[in-house]
Amino acid sequence: MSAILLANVNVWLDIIFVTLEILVFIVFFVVHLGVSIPTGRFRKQWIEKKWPKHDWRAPALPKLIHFQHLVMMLLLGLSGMYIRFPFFEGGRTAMRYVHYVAMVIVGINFLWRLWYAFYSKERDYKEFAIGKKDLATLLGVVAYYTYFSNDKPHVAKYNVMQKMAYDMFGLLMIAQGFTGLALLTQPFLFGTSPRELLIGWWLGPLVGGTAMAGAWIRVVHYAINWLFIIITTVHIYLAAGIDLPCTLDFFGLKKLETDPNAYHHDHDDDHDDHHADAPALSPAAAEAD
Amino acid sequence: MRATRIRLIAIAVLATVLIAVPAVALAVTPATSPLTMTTSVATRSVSPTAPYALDFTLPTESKAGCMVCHGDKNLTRLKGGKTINYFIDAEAIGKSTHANQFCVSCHLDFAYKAPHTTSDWQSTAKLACKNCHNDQFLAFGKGAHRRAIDATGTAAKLEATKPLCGDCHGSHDIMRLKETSEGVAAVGKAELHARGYEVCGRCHQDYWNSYNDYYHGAAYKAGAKDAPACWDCHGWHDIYPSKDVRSKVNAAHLVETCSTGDGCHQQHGTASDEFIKASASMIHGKQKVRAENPVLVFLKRITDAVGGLFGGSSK
Repeated sequence: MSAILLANVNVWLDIIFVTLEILVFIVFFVVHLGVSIPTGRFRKQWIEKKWPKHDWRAPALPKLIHFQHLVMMLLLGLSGMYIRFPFFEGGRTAMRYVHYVAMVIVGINFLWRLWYAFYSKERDYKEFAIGKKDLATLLGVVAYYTYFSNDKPHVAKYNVMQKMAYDMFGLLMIAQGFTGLALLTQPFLFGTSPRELLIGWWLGPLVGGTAMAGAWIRVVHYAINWLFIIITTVHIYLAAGIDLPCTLDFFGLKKLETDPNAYHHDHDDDHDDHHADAPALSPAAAEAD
Repeated sequence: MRATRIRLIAIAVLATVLIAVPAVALAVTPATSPLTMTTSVATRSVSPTAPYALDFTLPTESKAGCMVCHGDKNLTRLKGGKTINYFIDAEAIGKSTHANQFCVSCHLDFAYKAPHTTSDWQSTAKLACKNCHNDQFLAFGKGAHRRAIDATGTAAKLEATKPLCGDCHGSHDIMRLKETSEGVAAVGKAELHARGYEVCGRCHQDYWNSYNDYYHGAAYKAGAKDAPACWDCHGWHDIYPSKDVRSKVNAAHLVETCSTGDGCHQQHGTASDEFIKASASMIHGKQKVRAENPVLVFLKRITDAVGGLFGGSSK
């Protein structure tokens, strides 16, 4: 019974997430981009070059780490997918090592980001906090991105959906690190393996043993991998499609021009009224996707 | 006086005959012993269709004699409307574990003449292994591939389809698995590991096709060295059907097969009844699950229909 269930779950996961990724791609890169043409947003951004203004440029180190993190995440996704779907001859062992090395680097990146958020000079952890004020703008942000409104509410550096996405990315990284370590079966501490330490003692009795717990954790690990792919697909669309100058600056391709009064001037016709009335605008607020 | 002359002439003629005839005979028949490794006496057939007849006086204790003809890449014959190539790659033999064996060590029924008129030389060669590898042959005789010699009629035909040693192990290029000073065992083992299709899949096509789960079959077919070949789970000479309790993949032995000895799942936390049985069912079962999945069935119908529109197969 569990055998068939496990096989079915795995096959369904492949189908659901591949379909979801295709749908997300179509919804954003075809439908959303397509609708931006009749609504005039495409013309303003890509032809009139009216991109969001910023009063701040990210320092070099976060940009470098962002780039390196992107490469490592791509390697993790590629090597992880290869382990499940060996799509060329040979390299499963090599791919495992690629996966392990990239995992360690991503783990270090995560710890560095926590330090950067809480202890560095920048200390930007508040930029990721979702308060009542942010939640109050949720419907407005959703309406803006679904073209039901031309006003995008601004109360902080990141809009509420950005904050949710970035926070979720962090939580998913923790979950992915946990489930990934729980797949390791080599003894490392007093003869116990990470799998036994992390899931064997609590999940094992529930599903029929430590090994079965590992099989189900692999299912979760694979599902989270797809969530990363989907979130990153959306992130790439929004970063390039909504705020190209900031994205180019992030990859060192073109320097971003900053304006100290970015949020005290009209920078987007869509937002004119809103900015004039914006009561809780952060002085350091900048918009980015 | 005249009589004496006649006698002398007669003696001379007789002596000439006595000397000349053996000399001619010796000139016609080469003075070789069976142990001499001369290779120049046999000649190649002129063409695949030309009649040929040779009386072999070849030395039997070497390969060189056979390779005079069989070393030729163009050594072919028309047989049953098909062109059969009888070339033997000397380099492959040289690398094989039987490099030092003579041809007739396996080709026991070699007829010492051409055409090599023996009734079933292939079966003889494929079974010749037993003369040296007796333990393996006895184990083979216990398993599912054993031929029942007393079968008749249809049953006999079925028995005849069962493999002999050479059908699985190959012939002239059987790789070395025992370590030598040249360190060739690893190469041989790697080559053998990669031959799942040739060894088992050719006959067990359905099981070969269904061997495509995420971590065993798909990886194996993509050349993963750490993914199991058929025999890593099913065993080899004394192989039994999985329903037979003696089988290594019978439910009674799965945990033992997968987790002990050379088993892959011997690490901590990977071997348990529940897990091994669950995973074992997936190994050949994923294909069935995919075939029954409603979304994939629907997609297949669409692709078949679209393919049909463009004249493709709608299978």
